[in-house]
Amino acid sequence: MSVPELTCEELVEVVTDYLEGGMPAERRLLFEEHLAFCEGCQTYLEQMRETIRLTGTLMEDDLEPSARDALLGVLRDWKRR
Amino acid sequence: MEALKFLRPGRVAPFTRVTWPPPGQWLAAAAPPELCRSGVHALLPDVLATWIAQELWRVELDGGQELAPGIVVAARGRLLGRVQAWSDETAREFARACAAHARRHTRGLAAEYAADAAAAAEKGVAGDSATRVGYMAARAAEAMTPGGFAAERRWQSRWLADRLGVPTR
Repeated sequence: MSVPELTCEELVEVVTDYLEGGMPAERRLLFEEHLAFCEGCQTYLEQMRETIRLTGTLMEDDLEPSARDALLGVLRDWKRR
Repeated sequence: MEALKFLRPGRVAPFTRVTWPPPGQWLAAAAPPELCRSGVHALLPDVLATWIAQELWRVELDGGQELAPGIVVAARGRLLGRVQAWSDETAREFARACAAHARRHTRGLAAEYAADAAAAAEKGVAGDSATRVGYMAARAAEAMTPGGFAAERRWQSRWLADRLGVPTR
């Protein structure tokens, strides 16, 4: 019988589901059991939360015109691929 | 019902980041209790070792239900008092005990896991590092015997409950 648990790689793959609340309860339990002992994944989760918080508060007027143009250029190129 | 709750410094819940109110004041959930999703979550002593954090509190739950082994969830809860016996020193004792227990019956690769746990035990603190030593010791036990992980976790939780003087079921 193996130990039911998530690896760090698996946690990284499902972190968005966790943050969006789209994960079944048993999976969330495994996710949080892993977090309880894994400092690296705790840091990763914090970074994801902070990234979401910061990007969620970013408004169009907050960007310099040159930064906005550069970002739109990247998105246009990405869409063509 | 009474249960236990590990929190981060400042009465902060480890996963939701909710700050619990001072002892005696109720913390109410915004939605009906649901495992790992909503409701006030707390622990029974059987699973203490899995959820270690810096602060350990006794909590009162209003109508708590055990929705997973050792995990109770309620619509609201309040802190009753801090378990003062849980400290960095106790955490090091716990980490040493875990490592020693695992080393007693391991060999080969499992003994290497147990040795890693023993080396880490001296740096154990009440936060993350004691938790990691417990985890390593449980992995060592599993490497020796299938089912060893769960058995070692039960042993660790009993050790903690005894050392901290919290009643078990």
